[in-house]
Amino acid sequence: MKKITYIFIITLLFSSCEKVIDVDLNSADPQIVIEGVITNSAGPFSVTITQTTDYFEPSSYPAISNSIVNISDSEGNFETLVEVEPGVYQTANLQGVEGRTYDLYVNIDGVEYTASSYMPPVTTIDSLEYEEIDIGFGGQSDEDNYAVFAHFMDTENIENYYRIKYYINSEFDGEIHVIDDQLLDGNDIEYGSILEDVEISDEVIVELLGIDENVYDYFNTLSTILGDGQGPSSGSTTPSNPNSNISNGALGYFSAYSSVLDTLVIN
Amino acid sequence: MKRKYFLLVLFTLIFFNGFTQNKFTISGYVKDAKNGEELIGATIFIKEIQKGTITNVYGFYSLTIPEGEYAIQYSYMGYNSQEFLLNLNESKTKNVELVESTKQLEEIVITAQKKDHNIKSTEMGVVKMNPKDISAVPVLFGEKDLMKTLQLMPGIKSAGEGNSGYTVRGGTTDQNLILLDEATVYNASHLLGFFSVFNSDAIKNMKMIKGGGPAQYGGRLSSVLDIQMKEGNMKEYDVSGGLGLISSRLTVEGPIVKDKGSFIISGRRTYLDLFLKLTEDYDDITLYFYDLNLKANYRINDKNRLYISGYFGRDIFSFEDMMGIDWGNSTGTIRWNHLFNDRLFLNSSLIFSNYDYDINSDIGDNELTITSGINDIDLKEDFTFFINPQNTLKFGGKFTYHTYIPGEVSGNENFDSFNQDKDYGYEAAAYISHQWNLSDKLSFEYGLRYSMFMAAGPGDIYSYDDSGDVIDTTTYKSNEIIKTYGGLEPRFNATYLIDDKSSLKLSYSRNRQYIHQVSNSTSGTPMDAWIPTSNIVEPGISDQVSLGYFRNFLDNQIETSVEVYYKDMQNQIDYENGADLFLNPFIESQLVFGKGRSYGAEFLLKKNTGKFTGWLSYTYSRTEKQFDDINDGDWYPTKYDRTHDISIVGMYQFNPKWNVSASWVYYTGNAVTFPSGKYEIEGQTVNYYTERNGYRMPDYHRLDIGATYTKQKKKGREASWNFSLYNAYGRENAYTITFEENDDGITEALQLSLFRWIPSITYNFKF
Repeated sequence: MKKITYIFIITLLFSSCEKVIDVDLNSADPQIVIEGVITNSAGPFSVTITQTTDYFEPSSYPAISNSIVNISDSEGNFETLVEVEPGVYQTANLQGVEGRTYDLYVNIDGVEYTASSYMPPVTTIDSLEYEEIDIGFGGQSDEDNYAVFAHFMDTENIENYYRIKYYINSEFDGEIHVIDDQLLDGNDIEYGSILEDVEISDEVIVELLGIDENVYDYFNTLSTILGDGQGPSSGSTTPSNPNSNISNGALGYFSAYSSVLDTLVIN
Repeated sequence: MKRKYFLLVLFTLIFFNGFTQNKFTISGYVKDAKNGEELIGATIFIKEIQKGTITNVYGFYSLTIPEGEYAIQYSYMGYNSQEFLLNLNESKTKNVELVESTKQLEEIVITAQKKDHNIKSTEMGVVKMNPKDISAVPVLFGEKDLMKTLQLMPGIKSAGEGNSGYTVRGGTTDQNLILLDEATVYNASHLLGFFSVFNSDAIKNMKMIKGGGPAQYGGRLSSVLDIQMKEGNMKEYDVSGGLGLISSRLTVEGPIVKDKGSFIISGRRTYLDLFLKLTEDYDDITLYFYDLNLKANYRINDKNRLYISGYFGRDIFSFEDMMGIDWGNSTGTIRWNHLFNDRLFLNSSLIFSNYDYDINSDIGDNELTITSGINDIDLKEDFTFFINPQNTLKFGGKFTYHTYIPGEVSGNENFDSFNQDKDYGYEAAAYISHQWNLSDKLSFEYGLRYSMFMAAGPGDIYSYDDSGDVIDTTTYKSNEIIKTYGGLEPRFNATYLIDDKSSLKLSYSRNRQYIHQVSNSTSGTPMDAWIPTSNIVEPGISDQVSLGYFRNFLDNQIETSVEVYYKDMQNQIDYENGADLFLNPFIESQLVFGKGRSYGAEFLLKKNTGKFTGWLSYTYSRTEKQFDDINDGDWYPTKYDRTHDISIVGMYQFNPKWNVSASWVYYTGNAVTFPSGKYEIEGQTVNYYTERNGYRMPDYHRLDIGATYTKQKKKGREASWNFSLYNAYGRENAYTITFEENDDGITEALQLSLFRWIPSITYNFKF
């Protein structure tokens, strides 16, 4: 969908101009940002706590140190995380197991934040394919582009939510892809995306994550606002903060997920 | 028998005196002598009794007055008046043809109404225009566009550059009813809104009602734009057209049988894509639109007349063979005017309207087509009963069958086709409206409309829990009624003439709307879906009160008015955070419901005649919404809350050959949501937002200038050159402002502006 809007805008560019402008933005009170994951692979797992800054400040985010961070699971396991570098808290022994629910507790100077996330089992990737695509928008890009397709079988009669991450030569490409099976329950799903900056002999790793509904909701809303502004090109109807699963107004998310990987080499 | 029944109804509904006196009726049509086109709003005035009437949209008039000898004057702005002496000792038919005044060459007249119509009519909140009014106003790419010019009038605001959507008195863009020969036009934009779908060459008349609309109109909360196509020359064949920088137009019209029937065909196509082909970067982009207006009419006899009209337009956009989208409207109207007698006029219409879009994509082995749209079939009956000069009664009804196609996806073997359930609805309305001139000073137009909507099967209807998950599905059979809504819509207008030059007007109206448009982006796109009222979405309701003071100066050469209004809106729609609306079968789970209010003051100063004509309009307004889920339930400004809006239009006729014009607009920037901070997730910078619509885009202003050189040739042939310069001082108005991190990791605000100094030249001809 975004692509279509994108093309529309490109066609307008021939008589348009773009420039950096000064906008007088309010200075908001700093907000707590918590980002934590626990997976079914080997730990350690970490929770990062930072703060927001004013928009036109340099992109370095104050770390929140000396907080109490605990993770517990539905089987009664409990661990207090240790701060290994400013704002980064790490587990030592806790393991992620499919089917368990994990609870995060954070106490920052007496203010408590909690979140809960279920680690669903994930299906396997049956196959990966790719295709070369000529997508030189208005001749602007001479690079080759590749569409990568992952096939996997959705488990029937269960609400499944997936996230798909692409790593090009082991580097995460930063794009957010999430899908739910509301219309695809029990089907063989083919998920394709066009990857930019991929060249021959590159190795592409596809990671399929099983996530819970709240985490899906978080990444789905996050993807619509990333790089968002105002005007017809905006991806979402009105920009807003993504729907976080953390209590007490903290930004960010806490996600338990299980994942599988598959690798493909472009040649 | 039928007729008696009607009369019975009328007698019980209204009171009128003096029916025992010997009265006769004079009725007929008023036409343009040159081409036989009926004149809408021509004045018929009887000096002896100081009473009169105006012709309706079919050019028909009827006056019932006591027996006697009268001098009857027929007049129409820009035409020579005619006067007849008539001994009214029986009911008579009088058809009149008026000759266009030759003064036209030196004087431009920008209104087709009687000079003091604005003061005396019960209408308020109404703007009328015809193509002649606007031919001199400079426009983008020289494409004269009634819709764009309308947006220079108070209270009617452009939804922004590159958007022919408009908002009226704080309403949203989907709250405007747009009728082309009575058929609903669901998307009035060509080329993403840079042009409207209405080809000025085919348009005869345009009327915008901003509030206080009479009871025969309904179905939208904010405004009605009622457009009539030309009927075609009844006397002789005529070819006219224009060659512009980006498009060309051609119109052919003529009699089918002289003075009995005529036709008009008018077409337009842009050729921007041909220029794109010449550029290196965009040579694989196809982008054009075309539209076609057709109309034919035939007078069977004095009592019966038939009209058939149609519109077909399409925008086509594609990128290589990979991706394409095309969209457009088609409408068709069959109308039958029938005179039961010289005082009871009936128009019956059968109307078809369709809007749809297709998205095609062909990437690799994957071919996919998505189709979505809406179509309507309407049946409409409108009676006008001309009782006497003091009383006119209008009544009638309308029935509509709506089909909504939210999305059909089909593809090659790589895709599973799936169709979202179509939605169906029956909409029905009945109305009665009474125009009552109580005295020379006081007149009323009041009425009542009852409207209802039934959402109908077949289909699955979902109910949702608070988090938007489906908790229940009910399956309905074909034509099974899912939900019924309905209610009364009272309308009231009063005019008090203070003196010959000034009047006070008051109006109240309630409107109900049973259809909503959900927009996938912050401005309109062809993919915006229309959804019906349902078990979840309730009909919108608006109540508007307005008060106006109208005063003319210098023998009606200068019109001024001040109108203030307050509008209350219920059951308004907004979106959940991160709403996903495209092809979503559970679209209703993405919506939130709240209320709105709008108030403002509109000032207009207009000079209609003389060498210098034009107007100055200023609107002060506030529009706010309140939703429990947004901004902690506080009232917040809507996107189009536009505090100040100014338009100045001036035209000067130097001599019969040269005419120059300029227009300047200024308005407060839209209310927008900007980030107030930022943070990092997965190593990416994410904007942090504090409140919805808490910021403003920069103020918008722009000057356009134009000049027209006209050469009159023999035998009515005419040729003209139009030169214009859009955005003459090259203001960089913000089209979008985006907040992103650049390649160096620095967050910045990027402004995109369109269209600085766009010159154009258009050649128009007529022979």
